[in-house]
Amino acid sequence: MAEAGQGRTGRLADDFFLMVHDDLSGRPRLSDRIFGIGLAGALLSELVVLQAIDVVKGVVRQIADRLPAGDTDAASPLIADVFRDVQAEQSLPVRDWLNYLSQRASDDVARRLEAEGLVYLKPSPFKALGRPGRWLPHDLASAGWPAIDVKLKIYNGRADQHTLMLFGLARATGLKHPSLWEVEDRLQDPAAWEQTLRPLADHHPSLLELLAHTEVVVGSAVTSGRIS
Amino acid sequence: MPTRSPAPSKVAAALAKDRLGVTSVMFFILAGVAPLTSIEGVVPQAYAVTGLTSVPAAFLVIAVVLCVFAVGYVAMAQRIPNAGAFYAFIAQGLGKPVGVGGALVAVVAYNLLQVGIYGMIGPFMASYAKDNFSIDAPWGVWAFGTWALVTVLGLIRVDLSGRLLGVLSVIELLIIVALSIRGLSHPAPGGVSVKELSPTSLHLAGLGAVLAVAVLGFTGFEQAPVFSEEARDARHTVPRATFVSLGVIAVVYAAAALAMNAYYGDQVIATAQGQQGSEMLFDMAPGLLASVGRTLFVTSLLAAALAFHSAVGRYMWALGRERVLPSVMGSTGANGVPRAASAVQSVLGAVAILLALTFHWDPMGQLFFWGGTTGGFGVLLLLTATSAAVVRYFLKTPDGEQLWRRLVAPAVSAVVLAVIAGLCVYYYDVLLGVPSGSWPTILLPGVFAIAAAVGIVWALILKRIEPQAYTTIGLGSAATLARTGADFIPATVAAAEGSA
Repeated sequence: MAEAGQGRTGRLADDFFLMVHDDLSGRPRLSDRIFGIGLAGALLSELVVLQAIDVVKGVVRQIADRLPAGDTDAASPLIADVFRDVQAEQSLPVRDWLNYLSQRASDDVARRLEAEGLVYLKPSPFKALGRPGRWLPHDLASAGWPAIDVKLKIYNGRADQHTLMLFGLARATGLKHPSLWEVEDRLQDPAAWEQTLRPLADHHPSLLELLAHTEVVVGSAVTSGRIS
Repeated sequence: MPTRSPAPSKVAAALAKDRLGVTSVMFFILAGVAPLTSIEGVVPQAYAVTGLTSVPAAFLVIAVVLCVFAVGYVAMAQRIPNAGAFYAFIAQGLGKPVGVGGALVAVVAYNLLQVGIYGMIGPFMASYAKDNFSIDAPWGVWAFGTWALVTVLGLIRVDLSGRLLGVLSVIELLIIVALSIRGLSHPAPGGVSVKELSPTSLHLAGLGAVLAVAVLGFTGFEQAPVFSEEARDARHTVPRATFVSLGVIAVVYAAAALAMNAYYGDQVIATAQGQQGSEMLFDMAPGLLASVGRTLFVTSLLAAALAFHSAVGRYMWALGRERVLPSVMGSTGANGVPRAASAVQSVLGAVAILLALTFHWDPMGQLFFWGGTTGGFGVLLLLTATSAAVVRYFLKTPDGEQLWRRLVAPAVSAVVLAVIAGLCVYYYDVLLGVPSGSWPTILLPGVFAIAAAVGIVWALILKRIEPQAYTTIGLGSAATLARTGADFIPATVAAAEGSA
């Protein structure tokens, strides 16, 4: 929560949301479905980090009876909702969870950021034609920071778990961000990103597996052409 | 005491709403197969170049062969990631170098099929615009106009929704059925003969050619496994959609070809070879039906060109992501479109149209039919290699699969498809309608030998310079899972384990 109170919540899905949206225009850099899948991966990752669930052999398992009580910052109402969903189900394939959560993840995370006072919805001038509005940050500098932070930490070899997950989600969803061009080769080259993400395997193998499944679901969406 | 099945979970219910059923997958398959384009374009050309009246039988024979092929194909598709791409099957069954060879053969074949459509759409639009709107422009203008439209729509991702594709496909099928009924109910003197439906009507000399043309008509059916992860019931949806589609296409094609035979009688070959050859289907019904059919044919051609363009783009995207093609091909734009792959496909289309204009190729006879049949021949080679790959894959990992699915059906289809491919090569002159030994009979099938050889050599180079990329060839997106040490669990298995 290092950046909480400075225009960021420090939550993974929130930072990924900010990375995906152009801070000036609010235009998303990913298609709706791919963005949703990435956010779904981020939400599940938040639960993994809270040690509420793990991902083993493609299946999401509940490993805690409740979310940690003291950490209300991390355990937002949205995460509590997702955890309740996990509790209500038997062990389900992680790819089912990614597809399920992706259906509403962008709205849910946007509302969470809105509740924190970090973004606002600018209505579309073509609302009558069914065009959705755009989410814009109140503070441009803070909104642009997650991507810059990823670049700096990856580039300088000082990446923490949060940064590695954002980097991994950018890789899994094929996110192109102008701030990431200096680490573009690491996003493209399998050997380089594998090496970059290796520390995750030591601390949280579930996170690495979650990233891999996110990439599989994105791949399936692109090859089948169902990306809207 | 009867037991009550548990209420479907919230997650399962929400997912089911968004997932594809058998009918939806069939619509995607039919959009790729483009039945009206095949019948209007392929059947008359098949009569014309082979000089055989046994075209209806060829469709039925190929449908049976492809059904046998599909038995092993869908069985293996449920076990491997990246299913739907032939090279993934070949890489896992016959080894990575052969898989990369297959990948390049597929890229060449699918691109030929796509660019071939411009050879048909140009002349048809030219004649349609002249007849209906008195607009007189050469075919190249219409071909480039369509090319520009496909390029823009492909890049901004105005891909057609499942529902729209469904409506278009059903209307196409209804038009074909209506035209076929009209043809069969107004036969030439001598009446309707069904002997052309019998496989005994096929003769050796034209056999390879007519069967290759029939394979061309079915190309696109193999796309169903692409939707494995998107299907409502991963275990059953894809196989059912594949077999039902093959059945529907076979019946519709055979009926339409038979109707042409009946309507034109002993003039069927002469008509096909004449000026009105490409209008044979619509000429069977004068008036409103033909007019509606022609108009729908325009939308069918556009939809087919766009569907093929997107499919080729996604195929090259998958290869780019695995670094079999340059990694830039594996990138997507902000709208999720494989932008670089889509652009490369468009460039190839423009080059093909320019070549045809520069060298005065006959757009229908050469760009469409040579391009299309050669593409179809490439698909035939891939089907053959994939059958062999299925046999070898299940020999290594039988995994409780039935003998019929893992060995008998794929082995039979491998042999039969190899024989058809061999006949094709031997009679390539008949297939193209050119003198024996002329350059197209060597160059066109030879393209695939070159592609396969380049692919194999490239795989061996990759093994040396990029060993990590090499190890994940054919694994698709699931390559990442392999790196994490987790096994890829296909949707079918994952669903079964999740519900267990």
